[in-house]
Amino acid sequence: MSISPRATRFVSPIAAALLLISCGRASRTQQKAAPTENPPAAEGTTDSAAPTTGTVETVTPAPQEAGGAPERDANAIKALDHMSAYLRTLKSFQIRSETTRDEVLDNGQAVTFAGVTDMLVQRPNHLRAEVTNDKQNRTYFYDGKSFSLWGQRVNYYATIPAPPTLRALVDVLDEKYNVEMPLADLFYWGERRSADDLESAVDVGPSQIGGVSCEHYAFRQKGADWQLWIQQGDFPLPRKLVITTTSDEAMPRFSSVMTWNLAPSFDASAFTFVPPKDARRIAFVVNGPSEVAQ
Amino acid sequence: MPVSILRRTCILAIAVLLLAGGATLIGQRGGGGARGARTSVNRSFGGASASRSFSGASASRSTSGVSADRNFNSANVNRNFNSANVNRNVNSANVNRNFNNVNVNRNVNNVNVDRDIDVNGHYGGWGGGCCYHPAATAAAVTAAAATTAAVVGSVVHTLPPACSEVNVNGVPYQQCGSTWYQPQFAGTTVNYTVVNPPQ
Repeated sequence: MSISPRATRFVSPIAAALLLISCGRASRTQQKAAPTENPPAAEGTTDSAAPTTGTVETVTPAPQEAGGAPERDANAIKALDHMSAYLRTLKSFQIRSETTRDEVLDNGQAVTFAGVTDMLVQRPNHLRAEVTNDKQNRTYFYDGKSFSLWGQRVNYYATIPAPPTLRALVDVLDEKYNVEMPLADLFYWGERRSADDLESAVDVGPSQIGGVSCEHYAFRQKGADWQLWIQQGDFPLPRKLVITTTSDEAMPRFSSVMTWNLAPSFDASAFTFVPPKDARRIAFVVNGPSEVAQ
Repeated sequence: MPVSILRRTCILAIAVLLLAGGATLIGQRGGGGARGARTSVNRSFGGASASRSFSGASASRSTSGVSADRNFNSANVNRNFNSANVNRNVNSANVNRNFNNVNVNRNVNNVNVDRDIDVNGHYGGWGGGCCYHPAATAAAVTAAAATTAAVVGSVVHTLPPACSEVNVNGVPYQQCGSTWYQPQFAGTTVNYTVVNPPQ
Protein backbone atom coordinates (compact mmCIF):
# COMPACT_ATOMS: atom_id res chain seq x y z
CA MET A 1 0.00 0.00 0.00
CA SER A 2 1.36 3.34 -0.91
CA ILE A 3 1.44 6.09 1.60
CA SER A 4 -0.50 8.77 -0.15
CA PRO A 5 -3.96 7.24 -0.44
CA ARG A 6 -3.76 6.21 3.15
CA ALA A 7 -2.82 9.70 4.04
CA THR A 8 -5.80 11.18 2.24
CA ARG A 9 -7.99 8.73 3.90
CA PHE A 10 -6.73 9.79 7.24
CA VAL A 11 -6.69 13.44 6.57
CA SER A 12 -10.15 14.00 5.24
CA PRO A 13 -12.11 12.60 8.12
CA ILE A 14 -9.86 14.36 10.54
CA ALA A 15 -10.23 17.56 8.67
CA ALA A 16 -13.94 17.08 8.55
CA ALA A 17 -14.09 16.51 12.24
CA LEU A 18 -11.98 19.53 12.97
CA LEU A 19 -14.11 21.62 10.69
CA LEU A 20 -17.16 20.39 12.42
CA ILE A 21 -15.73 21.38 15.72
CA SER A 22 -14.61 24.75 14.60
CA CYS A 23 -17.88 25.42 12.85
CA GLY A 24 -19.81 24.52 15.92
CA ARG A 25 -17.56 26.66 17.98
CA ALA A 26 -17.74 29.56 15.59
CA SER A 27 -21.48 29.71 15.55
CA ARG A 28 -21.64 29.28 19.27
CA THR A 29 -19.25 32.07 19.91
CA GLN A 30 -20.99 34.30 17.46
CA GLN A 31 -24.26 33.73 19.16
CA LYS A 32 -22.82 34.50 22.49
CA ALA A 33 -20.90 37.38 21.01
CA ALA A 34 -18.18 36.53 23.42
CA PRO A 35 -15.09 35.83 21.36
CA THR A 36 -13.07 33.61 23.58
CA GLU A 37 -10.24 32.54 21.37
CA ASN A 38 -8.40 29.35 21.97
CA PRO A 39 -10.78 27.72 24.31
CA PRO A 40 -9.25 24.91 26.27
CA ALA A 41 -8.86 21.83 24.12
CA ALA A 42 -12.24 21.77 22.49
CA GLU A 43 -14.64 19.66 24.41
CA GLY A 44 -15.93 16.54 22.86
CA THR A 45 -13.14 16.23 20.40
CA THR A 46 -11.13 13.54 21.96
CA ASP A 47 -13.01 10.72 20.40
CA SER A 48 -13.22 12.15 16.95
CA ALA A 49 -10.04 13.72 15.83
CA ALA A 50 -7.12 14.06 18.10
CA PRO A 51 -4.93 11.06 18.55
CA THR A 52 -4.13 12.41 21.93
CA THR A 53 -2.87 10.72 24.95
CA GLY A 54 -4.51 7.35 24.53
CA THR A 55 -1.96 4.66 24.83
CA VAL A 56 -1.65 2.83 21.59
CA GLU A 57 -2.77 -0.65 22.21
CA THR A 58 -0.39 -3.18 20.86
CA VAL A 59 -1.89 -5.22 18.13
CA THR A 60 -0.28 -8.45 19.05
CA PRO A 61 -1.23 -9.85 22.37
CA ALA A 62 1.56 -10.55 24.76
CA PRO A 63 2.90 -14.04 24.51
CA GLN A 64 0.66 -16.19 26.54
CA GLU A 65 2.87 -18.10 28.78
CA ALA A 66 0.58 -18.25 31.70
CA GLY A 67 0.37 -21.98 31.40
CA GLY A 68 4.06 -22.40 31.91
CA ALA A 69 6.82 -22.85 29.39
CA PRO A 70 5.59 -23.33 25.84
CA GLU A 71 5.64 -26.91 24.77
CA ARG A 72 7.45 -27.87 21.60
CA ASP A 73 6.77 -31.47 21.05
CA ALA A 74 9.55 -32.80 18.84
CA ASN A 75 7.24 -35.41 17.39
CA ALA A 76 4.68 -32.84 16.35
CA ILE A 77 7.35 -30.85 14.57
CA LYS A 78 8.69 -33.98 13.00
CA ALA A 79 5.23 -34.88 11.76
CA LEU A 80 4.95 -31.48 10.14
CA ASP A 81 8.30 -31.92 8.44
CA HIS A 82 7.38 -35.41 7.35
CA MET A 83 4.16 -34.20 5.78
CA SER A 84 5.98 -31.34 4.07
CA ALA A 85 8.56 -33.66 2.60
CA TYR A 86 5.83 -35.94 1.37
CA LEU A 87 3.94 -33.08 -0.26
CA ARG A 88 7.05 -32.19 -2.19
CA THR A 89 7.15 -35.62 -3.76
CA LEU A 90 3.73 -35.19 -5.33
CA LYS A 91 3.96 -34.42 -9.00
CA SER A 92 0.31 -33.80 -9.54
CA PHE A 93 -2.72 -33.81 -7.34
CA GLN A 94 -6.25 -32.65 -7.11
CA ILE A 95 -7.85 -31.27 -3.98
CA ARG A 96 -11.34 -30.42 -3.03
CA SER A 97 -11.44 -28.16 -0.03
CA GLU A 98 -14.51 -27.27 1.97
CA THR A 99 -13.65 -23.94 3.41
CA THR A 100 -15.00 -21.52 5.96
CA ARG A 101 -13.54 -18.14 6.71
CA ASP A 102 -14.56 -15.58 9.30
CA GLU A 103 -14.74 -11.92 8.59
CA VAL A 104 -15.07 -9.40 11.33
CA LEU A 105 -17.83 -6.82 11.26
CA ASP A 106 -17.22 -3.31 12.45
CA ASN A 107 -18.85 -4.18 15.74
CA GLY A 108 -16.22 -6.84 16.32
CA GLN A 109 -18.45 -9.79 15.58
CA ALA A 110 -17.04 -12.55 13.42
CA VAL A 111 -19.30 -14.00 10.76
CA THR A 112 -18.48 -17.08 8.77
CA PHE A 113 -18.53 -17.48 5.03
CA ALA A 114 -18.42 -20.85 3.38
CA GLY A 115 -16.91 -21.95 0.14
CA VAL A 116 -15.48 -24.75 -1.91
CA THR A 117 -12.14 -24.83 -3.69
CA ASP A 118 -11.36 -27.31 -6.41
CA MET A 119 -7.73 -27.30 -7.33
CA LEU A 120 -5.66 -29.23 -9.83
CA VAL A 121 -1.91 -28.93 -9.57
CA GLN A 122 0.88 -30.22 -11.70
CA ARG A 123 4.23 -29.31 -10.31
CA PRO A 124 6.14 -27.23 -10.74
CA ASN A 125 4.21 -24.77 -12.83
CA HIS A 126 0.64 -25.67 -13.64
CA LEU A 127 -2.46 -24.95 -11.67
CA ARG A 128 -6.13 -24.56 -12.12
CA ALA A 129 -8.36 -23.67 -9.22
CA GLU A 130 -11.98 -22.90 -8.99
CA VAL A 131 -13.15 -21.08 -5.90
CA THR A 132 -16.82 -20.77 -5.18
CA ASN A 133 -18.03 -19.10 -2.05
CA ASP A 134 -20.89 -17.01 -0.76
CA LYS A 135 -19.59 -14.01 -2.60
CA GLN A 136 -17.70 -15.00 -5.66
CA ASN A 137 -16.94 -17.53 -8.25
CA ARG A 138 -13.37 -17.29 -9.45
CA THR A 139 -11.21 -19.54 -11.56
CA TYR A 140 -7.43 -19.36 -11.45
CA PHE A 141 -5.35 -20.49 -14.41
CA TYR A 142 -1.60 -20.88 -14.47
CA ASP A 143 0.24 -22.57 -17.30
CA GLY A 144 3.79 -21.65 -16.41
CA LYS A 145 3.75 -18.55 -18.57
CA SER A 146 0.76 -16.52 -17.62
CA PHE A 147 -1.76 -16.29 -14.87
CA SER A 148 -5.42 -15.54 -15.43
CA LEU A 149 -8.22 -14.85 -13.04
CA TRP A 150 -11.72 -15.19 -14.34
CA GLY A 151 -14.97 -14.25 -12.63
CA GLN A 152 -17.60 -16.36 -14.22
CA ARG A 153 -20.67 -14.45 -13.15
CA VAL A 154 -19.30 -10.99 -13.83
CA ASN A 155 -17.49 -12.46 -16.81
CA TYR A 156 -14.44 -10.30 -16.36
CA TYR A 157 -10.96 -11.69 -16.51
CA ALA A 158 -7.42 -10.46 -16.06
CA THR A 159 -4.26 -11.99 -17.42
CA ILE A 160 -0.72 -11.23 -16.36
CA PRO A 161 2.66 -12.69 -17.22
CA ALA A 162 3.64 -15.17 -14.54
CA PRO A 163 6.89 -16.36 -12.97
CA PRO A 164 8.11 -19.86 -13.87
CA THR A 165 7.14 -21.68 -10.69
CA LEU A 166 4.05 -22.01 -8.57
CA ARG A 167 5.95 -21.04 -5.53
CA ALA A 168 7.08 -17.76 -7.06
CA LEU A 169 3.61 -17.16 -8.41
CA VAL A 170 2.08 -17.43 -4.96
CA ASP A 171 4.45 -14.72 -3.77
CA VAL A 172 3.88 -12.40 -6.68
CA LEU A 173 0.13 -12.70 -6.52
CA ASP A 174 0.07 -11.92 -2.86
CA GLU A 175 2.59 -9.16 -2.78
CA LYS A 176 1.86 -7.37 -6.00
CA TYR A 177 -1.76 -8.10 -6.77
CA ASN A 178 -3.36 -8.81 -3.42
CA VAL A 179 -4.56 -12.13 -4.73
CA GLU A 180 -4.43 -14.99 -2.28
CA MET A 181 -3.71 -18.32 -3.81
CA PRO A 182 -6.21 -20.77 -2.38
CA LEU A 183 -4.56 -23.16 0.07
CA ALA A 184 -1.31 -21.27 -0.29
CA ASP A 185 0.23 -23.24 2.54
CA LEU A 186 0.44 -26.29 0.34
CA PHE A 187 3.02 -24.48 -1.74
CA TYR A 188 5.03 -23.32 1.20
CA TRP A 189 5.17 -26.28 3.47
CA GLY A 190 8.55 -27.83 3.20
CA GLU A 191 9.90 -25.10 1.01
CA ARG A 192 10.51 -22.24 3.26
CA ARG A 193 9.39 -22.51 6.77
CA SER A 194 11.50 -23.83 9.51
CA ALA A 195 9.93 -24.84 12.75
CA ASP A 196 11.80 -22.03 14.46
CA ASP A 197 8.89 -19.66 14.59
CA LEU A 198 6.64 -22.15 16.26
CA GLU A 199 6.11 -21.11 19.82
CA SER A 200 4.37 -24.30 20.64
CA ALA A 201 3.69 -27.66 19.01
CA VAL A 202 1.47 -30.32 20.49
CA ASP A 203 0.24 -33.72 19.41
CA VAL A 204 -3.42 -33.61 20.41
CA GLY A 205 -4.20 -37.19 19.49
CA PRO A 206 -5.94 -39.37 16.92
CA SER A 207 -8.93 -38.05 15.05
CA GLN A 208 -11.18 -39.02 12.17
CA ILE A 209 -11.62 -36.57 9.32
CA GLY A 210 -14.07 -37.65 6.69
CA GLY A 211 -13.61 -41.26 7.66
CA VAL A 212 -9.84 -41.04 7.42
CA SER A 213 -7.66 -41.74 10.42
CA CYS A 214 -5.55 -38.71 11.20
CA GLU A 215 -3.33 -37.37 13.91
CA HIS A 216 -4.36 -34.00 15.24
CA TYR A 217 -1.68 -31.41 15.99
CA ALA A 218 -1.87 -27.93 17.44
CA PHE A 219 0.70 -25.25 16.73
CA ARG A 220 1.12 -21.71 17.90
CA GLN A 221 3.07 -18.97 16.25
CA LYS A 222 3.04 -15.23 16.42
CA GLY A 223 -0.41 -14.02 15.47
CA ALA A 224 -1.91 -17.43 14.82
CA ASP A 225 -2.94 -20.61 16.53
CA TRP A 226 -3.38 -23.39 14.06
CA GLN A 227 -4.34 -27.00 13.96
CA LEU A 228 -3.48 -29.61 11.45
CA TRP A 229 -4.89 -33.06 10.93
CA ILE A 230 -2.40 -35.28 9.13
CA GLN A 231 -3.41 -38.58 7.63
CA GLN A 232 -1.93 -41.56 9.39
CA GLY A 233 0.04 -44.17 7.50
CA ASP A 234 2.01 -44.02 4.29
CA PHE A 235 0.32 -40.96 2.86
CA PRO A 236 0.83 -38.18 5.38
CA LEU A 237 -1.47 -35.66 3.74
CA PRO A 238 -2.97 -32.64 5.44
CA ARG A 239 -6.66 -33.44 5.79
CA LYS A 240 -7.81 -30.49 7.76
CA LEU A 241 -6.39 -27.12 8.66
CA VAL A 242 -7.82 -24.60 11.09
CA ILE A 243 -6.17 -21.23 11.58
CA THR A 244 -7.21 -18.85 14.32
CA THR A 245 -5.96 -15.33 13.85
CA THR A 246 -4.93 -14.42 17.37
CA SER A 247 -3.66 -10.97 16.46
CA ASP A 248 -7.28 -9.96 16.07
CA GLU A 249 -9.28 -9.82 19.25
CA ALA A 250 -12.28 -11.27 17.45
CA MET A 251 -10.20 -14.41 16.83
CA PRO A 252 -11.49 -15.05 13.33
CA ARG A 253 -11.02 -18.59 12.08
CA PHE A 254 -10.27 -20.15 8.78
CA SER A 255 -10.95 -23.79 8.20
CA SER A 256 -10.29 -26.13 5.31
CA VAL A 257 -11.18 -29.78 5.04
CA MET A 258 -9.33 -31.37 2.16
CA THR A 259 -10.13 -34.36 0.01
CA TRP A 260 -7.22 -35.57 -2.07
CA ASN A 261 -6.86 -37.28 -5.39
CA LEU A 262 -3.25 -38.23 -6.04
CA ALA A 263 -3.85 -39.62 -9.51
CA PRO A 264 -5.88 -37.00 -11.28
CA SER A 265 -6.58 -37.28 -14.95
CA PHE A 266 -6.50 -34.05 -16.84
CA ASP A 267 -5.77 -32.46 -20.13
CA ALA A 268 -2.90 -30.02 -20.48
CA SER A 269 -5.35 -27.46 -21.80
CA ALA A 270 -6.99 -27.33 -18.39
CA PHE A 271 -4.34 -24.89 -17.24
CA THR A 272 -4.66 -22.37 -20.02
CA PHE A 273 -7.38 -19.81 -19.98
CA VAL A 274 -9.30 -19.37 -23.18
CA PRO A 275 -11.63 -16.45 -22.62
CA PRO A 276 -15.24 -17.10 -23.48
CA LYS A 277 -16.41 -15.00 -26.36
CA ASP A 278 -18.32 -12.55 -24.26
CA ALA A 279 -15.76 -12.27 -21.45
CA ARG A 280 -14.19 -8.86 -21.04
CA ARG A 281 -10.63 -8.27 -20.04
CA ILE A 282 -9.87 -5.87 -17.23
CA ALA A 283 -6.74 -5.06 -15.24
CA PHE A 284 -5.51 -5.81 -11.75
CA VAL A 285 -4.95 -3.07 -9.25
CA VAL A 286 -1.27 -3.28 -8.46
CA ASN A 287 0.18 -2.62 -5.03
CA GLY A 288 2.61 0.20 -4.85
CA PRO A 289 3.04 3.47 -6.64
CA SER A 290 1.27 2.65 -9.88
CA GLU A 291 -2.41 2.11 -9.47
CA VAL A 292 -3.48 -0.14 -12.26
CA ALA A 293 -1.64 -2.68 -14.35
CA GLN A 294 -2.37 -2.39 -18.01
CA MET B 1 -20.73 36.66 8.08
CA PRO B 2 -24.20 35.79 9.32
CA VAL B 3 -24.34 32.72 11.40
CA SER B 4 -26.58 30.78 9.06
CA ILE B 5 -24.35 31.21 6.05
CA LEU B 6 -21.31 30.37 8.02
CA ARG B 7 -22.90 27.25 9.27
CA ARG B 8 -24.09 26.19 5.89
CA THR B 9 -20.67 26.67 4.41
CA CYS B 10 -19.13 24.63 7.13
CA ILE B 11 -21.61 21.85 6.70
CA LEU B 12 -20.98 21.71 3.02
CA ALA B 13 -17.29 21.57 3.56
CA ILE B 14 -17.71 18.78 6.01
CA ALA B 15 -19.87 16.84 3.67
CA VAL B 16 -17.42 17.21 0.85
CA LEU B 17 -14.54 16.10 2.99
CA LEU B 18 -16.38 13.11 4.23
CA LEU B 19 -17.34 12.15 0.75
CA ALA B 20 -13.78 12.40 -0.39
CA GLY B 21 -12.73 10.24 2.49
CA GLY B 22 -15.36 7.69 1.71
CA ALA B 23 -14.31 7.42 -1.84
CA THR B 24 -10.74 6.61 -1.05
CA LEU B 25 -11.66 4.36 1.77
CA ILE B 26 -13.24 1.76 -0.34
CA GLY B 27 -10.28 1.51 -2.63
CA GLN B 28 -8.02 0.67 0.21
CA ARG B 29 -10.06 -2.30 1.13
CA GLY B 30 -10.12 -3.79 -2.25
CA GLY B 31 -8.20 -6.93 -1.71
CA GLY B 32 -11.06 -9.02 -0.60
CA GLY B 33 -9.57 -9.58 2.78
CA ALA B 34 -10.71 -6.63 4.77
CA ARG B 35 -10.58 -7.74 8.34
CA GLY B 36 -10.83 -11.45 8.49
CA ALA B 37 -9.17 -14.69 9.32
CA ARG B 38 -5.84 -15.30 7.68
CA THR B 39 -5.83 -18.26 5.40
CA SER B 40 -2.19 -19.26 5.54
CA VAL B 41 0.28 -19.92 8.30
CA ASN B 42 3.29 -19.77 6.05
CA ARG B 43 2.79 -16.34 4.71
CA SER B 44 4.45 -14.10 7.20
CA PHE B 45 1.27 -12.14 7.51
CA GLY B 46 3.30 -9.28 6.27
CA GLY B 47 2.63 -7.59 3.01
CA ALA B 48 -0.81 -6.88 1.90
CA SER B 49 -2.88 -9.08 4.05
CA ALA B 50 -1.17 -8.06 7.20
CA SER B 51 -1.59 -4.39 6.75
CA ARG B 52 -5.12 -4.94 5.72
CA SER B 53 -5.94 -6.83 8.80
CA PHE B 54 -4.07 -4.69 11.17
CA SER B 55 -5.39 -1.45 9.85
CA GLY B 56 -8.90 -2.45 10.56
CA ALA B 57 -8.24 -4.41 13.64
CA SER B 58 -7.69 -3.89 17.24
CA ALA B 59 -5.29 -1.03 17.10
CA SER B 60 -7.85 1.65 16.81
CA ARG B 61 -11.07 0.24 17.95
CA SER B 62 -10.43 0.66 21.57
CA THR B 63 -8.22 3.68 21.48
CA SER B 64 -9.90 6.79 20.35
CA GLY B 65 -8.39 8.50 17.44
CA VAL B 66 -5.41 6.33 16.95
CA SER B 67 -6.43 5.45 13.48
CA ALA B 68 -8.48 7.95 11.65
CA ASP B 69 -9.61 5.40 9.21
CA ARG B 70 -11.09 3.27 11.88
CA ASN B 71 -12.94 6.08 13.43
CA PHE B 72 -14.09 7.18 10.13
CA ASN B 73 -15.56 3.82 9.55
CA SER B 74 -17.33 3.42 12.74
CA ALA B 75 -18.42 5.61 15.50
CA ASN B 76 -17.60 9.12 14.66
CA VAL B 77 -18.75 9.68 11.20
CA ASN B 78 -22.02 8.16 11.91
CA ARG B 79 -22.46 9.88 15.11
CA ASN B 80 -21.84 13.17 13.47
CA PHE B 81 -24.26 12.52 10.78
CA ASN B 82 -26.91 11.31 13.06
CA SER B 83 -26.60 14.04 15.55
CA ALA B 84 -29.05 16.81 15.29
CA ASN B 85 -27.12 19.73 13.94
CA VAL B 86 -25.34 18.19 11.13
CA ASN B 87 -28.12 16.11 9.92
CA ARG B 88 -30.52 18.91 9.58
CA ASN B 89 -28.17 20.87 7.51
CA VAL B 90 -26.76 18.13 5.45
CA ASN B 91 -30.23 17.46 4.24
CA SER B 92 -30.24 20.60 2.26
CA ALA B 93 -27.00 19.67 0.64
CA ASN B 94 -28.43 16.56 -0.91
CA VAL B 95 -26.16 14.36 1.04
CA ASN B 96 -28.53 13.09 3.56
CA ARG B 97 -30.93 11.81 1.07
CA ASN B 98 -28.47 9.17 0.23
CA PHE B 99 -27.99 8.26 3.76
CA ASN B 100 -31.59 7.66 4.41
CA ASN B 101 -32.76 5.89 1.37
CA VAL B 102 -32.03 2.59 -0.19
CA ASN B 103 -28.65 3.52 -1.44
CA VAL B 104 -27.30 3.42 2.01
CA ASN B 105 -28.11 -0.13 2.50
CA ARG B 106 -26.75 -1.26 -0.72
CA ASN B 107 -23.46 0.44 -0.38
CA VAL B 108 -23.07 -0.17 3.25
CA ASN B 109 -23.20 -3.81 2.67
CA ASN B 110 -20.75 -3.55 -0.06
CA VAL B 111 -18.27 -2.00 2.21
CA ASN B 112 -18.52 -4.25 5.15
CA VAL B 113 -19.67 -7.62 4.20
CA ASP B 114 -21.08 -7.59 0.79
CA ARG B 115 -18.27 -5.68 -0.66
CA ASP B 116 -16.75 -8.28 -2.86
CA ILE B 117 -19.81 -10.10 -3.90
CA ASP B 118 -20.15 -10.29 -7.60
CA VAL B 119 -22.69 -7.79 -8.64
CA ASN B 120 -23.72 -7.38 -12.17
CA GLY B 121 -23.68 -3.71 -12.94
CA HIS B 122 -26.82 -3.95 -14.90
CA TYR B 123 -28.95 -4.64 -11.99
CA GLY B 124 -27.35 -1.92 -10.08
CA GLY B 125 -26.49 -3.86 -7.04
CA TRP B 126 -29.90 -5.22 -6.27
CA GLY B 127 -30.64 -8.85 -6.24
CA GLY B 128 -27.11 -9.93 -6.77
CA GLY B 129 -25.92 -9.86 -3.24
CA CYS B 130 -26.27 -11.66 -0.05
CA CYS B 131 -25.55 -11.07 3.49
CA TYR B 132 -27.31 -7.90 4.41
CA HIS B 133 -26.90 -7.04 7.99
CA PRO B 134 -27.75 -4.21 10.30
CA ALA B 135 -24.35 -3.77 11.87
CA ALA B 136 -22.92 -2.04 8.91
CA THR B 137 -24.58 1.33 8.97
CA ALA B 138 -21.33 2.91 9.94
CA ALA B 139 -19.88 3.08 6.52
CA ALA B 140 -22.83 4.81 5.00
CA VAL B 141 -20.61 7.60 3.87
CA THR B 142 -19.52 5.63 0.90
CA ALA B 143 -23.08 5.48 -0.25
CA ALA B 144 -23.04 9.13 -0.96
CA ALA B 145 -19.72 8.83 -2.63
CA ALA B 146 -21.08 6.24 -4.94
CA THR B 147 -24.12 8.11 -6.03
CA THR B 148 -23.62 11.80 -5.68
CA ALA B 149 -19.96 12.56 -5.77
CA ALA B 150 -18.66 10.98 -8.91
CA VAL B 151 -15.17 12.17 -8.28
CA VAL B 152 -12.72 10.95 -10.84
CA GLY B 153 -10.48 8.44 -9.17
CA SER B 154 -12.98 7.37 -6.56
CA VAL B 155 -13.73 3.69 -6.33
CA VAL B 156 -17.00 1.90 -5.76
CA HIS B 157 -18.01 -1.72 -5.57
CA THR B 158 -21.47 -1.25 -6.93
CA LEU B 159 -22.61 0.74 -9.89
CA PRO B 160 -25.61 3.00 -9.78
CA PRO B 161 -28.65 1.75 -11.65
CA ALA B 162 -29.04 2.06 -15.37
CA CYS B 163 -25.53 1.77 -16.69
CA SER B 164 -24.50 0.52 -20.03
CA GLU B 165 -21.26 -1.05 -21.02
CA VAL B 166 -19.27 0.76 -23.65
CA ASN B 167 -16.15 -0.84 -25.00
CA VAL B 168 -13.48 1.71 -25.81
CA ASN B 169 -10.12 0.43 -26.95
CA GLY B 170 -10.75 -2.91 -25.37
CA VAL B 171 -11.73 -1.50 -22.01
CA PRO B 172 -15.27 -2.40 -20.93
CA TYR B 173 -16.30 0.92 -19.39
CA GLN B 174 -19.61 1.32 -17.67
CA GLN B 175 -21.40 4.52 -18.52
CA CYS B 176 -23.90 5.56 -15.91
CA GLY B 177 -25.46 8.80 -16.97
CA SER B 178 -22.60 11.21 -17.39
CA THR B 179 -20.29 9.21 -15.17
CA TRP B 180 -17.88 6.64 -16.53
CA TYR B 181 -16.52 3.74 -14.56
CA GLN B 182 -13.64 1.44 -15.33
CA PRO B 183 -13.89 -2.04 -13.83
CA GLN B 184 -10.82 -3.67 -12.37
CA PHE B 185 -9.77 -6.51 -10.12
CA ALA B 186 -8.66 -5.41 -6.68
CA GLY B 187 -7.39 -8.75 -5.54
CA THR B 188 -10.14 -11.09 -6.61
CA THR B 189 -12.79 -8.43 -6.12
CA VAL B 190 -14.22 -6.40 -8.94
CA ASN B 191 -14.59 -2.72 -8.29
CA TYR B 192 -15.12 0.34 -10.40
CA THR B 193 -13.06 3.50 -10.64
CA VAL B 194 -14.65 6.73 -11.80
CA VAL B 195 -12.75 7.92 -14.84
CA ASN B 196 -12.95 10.76 -17.27
CA PRO B 197 -15.05 9.93 -20.31
CA PRO B 198 -12.79 7.92 -22.62
CA GLN B 199 -11.81 9.60 -25.84
